[in-house]
Amino acid sequence: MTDELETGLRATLSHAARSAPVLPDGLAAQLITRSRRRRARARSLAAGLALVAIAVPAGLVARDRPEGDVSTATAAETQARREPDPYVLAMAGLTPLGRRLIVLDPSEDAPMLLWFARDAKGATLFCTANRNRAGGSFYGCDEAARSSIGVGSTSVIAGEVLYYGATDADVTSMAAVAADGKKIPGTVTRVDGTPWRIWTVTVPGLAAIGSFELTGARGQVVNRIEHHGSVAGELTAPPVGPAEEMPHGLVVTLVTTPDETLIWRLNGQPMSMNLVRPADLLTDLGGHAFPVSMTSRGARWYGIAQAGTARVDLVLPDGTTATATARPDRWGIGVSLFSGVYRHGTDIYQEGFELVGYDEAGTVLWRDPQPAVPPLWQ
Amino acid sequence: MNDDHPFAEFVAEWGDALLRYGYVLSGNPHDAADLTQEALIRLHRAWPRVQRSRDPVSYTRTIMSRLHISTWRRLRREQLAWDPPDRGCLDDLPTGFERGLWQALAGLPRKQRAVLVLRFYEDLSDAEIAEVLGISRGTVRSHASHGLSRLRSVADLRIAVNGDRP
Repeated sequence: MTDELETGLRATLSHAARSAPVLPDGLAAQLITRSRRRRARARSLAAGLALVAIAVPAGLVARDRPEGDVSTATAAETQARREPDPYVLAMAGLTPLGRRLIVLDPSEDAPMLLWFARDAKGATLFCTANRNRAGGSFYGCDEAARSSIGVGSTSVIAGEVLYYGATDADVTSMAAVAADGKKIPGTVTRVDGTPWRIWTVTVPGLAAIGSFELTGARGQVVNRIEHHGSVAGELTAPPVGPAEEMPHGLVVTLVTTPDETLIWRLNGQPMSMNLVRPADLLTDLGGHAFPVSMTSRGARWYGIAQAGTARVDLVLPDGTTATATARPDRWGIGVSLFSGVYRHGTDIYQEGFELVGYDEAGTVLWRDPQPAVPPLWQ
Repeated sequence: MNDDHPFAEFVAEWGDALLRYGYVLSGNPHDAADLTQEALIRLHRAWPRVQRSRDPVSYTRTIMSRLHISTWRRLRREQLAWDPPDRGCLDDLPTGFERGLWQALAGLPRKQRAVLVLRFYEDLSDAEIAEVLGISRGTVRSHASHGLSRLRSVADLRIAVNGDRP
């Protein structure tokens, strides 16, 4: 049997491999662009975290963002965060070139910066800086000439995605071209005193983008950037089991492609996700457990909490409290789901808040403070 | 010449083979595409060093294997450049025995599957598998033994029920 099994296994793997997809043409150029952009970001994140550790030495824990993004830093006490401005960090040793462009990162509902700079050798750089509402930030600069052939984007697991890029071509308008041919117009901003322009376009998260067209004053296409885009696999995978309808219109589904993930939607539009594979479940990048992963969009706050949580309170510094009932997940993952709304005039992240989890008997199971994050860019 | 030209040539020559490896390693085209693209991005970052001292194919395969058995997906903050169509391979497998084995592979823990794929698809020795996965040879043998044992139980069941041999 062993020989038969091993022979059969070789044949199975060999035959299955023939069904593998093939890589599209032109992928190498996109991978090179992403590699360079990521390298810049990795340097930035490391520098940012090091400085934060100096500013707030006690209680720092590394944890993932609710969207499953790269780690950020969160202080364990509800106090004003004294993080350096990522723009300042990015500009160390560089000279600004033109004014900064402030756009909305729709996945974070927070501002994002795009700008040009010049390095000591005189090269023009295209820079970006993001800061999520919880205070985590990343930034990076890449040679503008390389950026002109690539496309950057905000998180793709969101209701809307912002794509952006730089060009020194004489373009006046641009559009994202969806796979079905529909064009979604974007914006081209000229940077005074330079030949450079920044283009941005915001598209629905469920739109598969095939290319970006940059056009001149007479409407001619000056540059077409192929995107080979598609909707993130998590958003198109069939759900496993029934959906969970949560209060305030949110619907949660479990998908297992590419891995176990909870997708939160509102009116059919993706809002955010939680990685729920056992190895990822409420666990930070260092392998440490945390009790809750909360996302806030508009007045809604929702997420997952450790098993046994029956109620979650969101407590603001003035004592105002919003309450969300939590329920066990229906897929046997081993978490509680919750969603609520709060009535408050300002961004709760600017003031700081604390999440408190209770069991059925009303006993406090856990506390998770979020320090205040003052706004940086207006 | 553009510094990136050798890397682009490498992707053109080896990209599909690496994607096939990712496919049998992960069992689905999405993870295969993610693993391949992520590993190629990391290869690009290390390209000058890898070119001087290592075989880029081996290096990339090692990255893919270790990513697959780790929690790498949480680190992915961007949609990669390309996502393949959602298509399985069951219909392409010629016998029920192979279809049963492919389905049984999906039930194995990732390390067990990775060891079996490296041994029976890539034809690596235990020492080479140990190096790729960053584990001891003893652990390789243990994973292989447990993985084959689980597959054998499924295969025995199929033969008992259907008389379906490879």
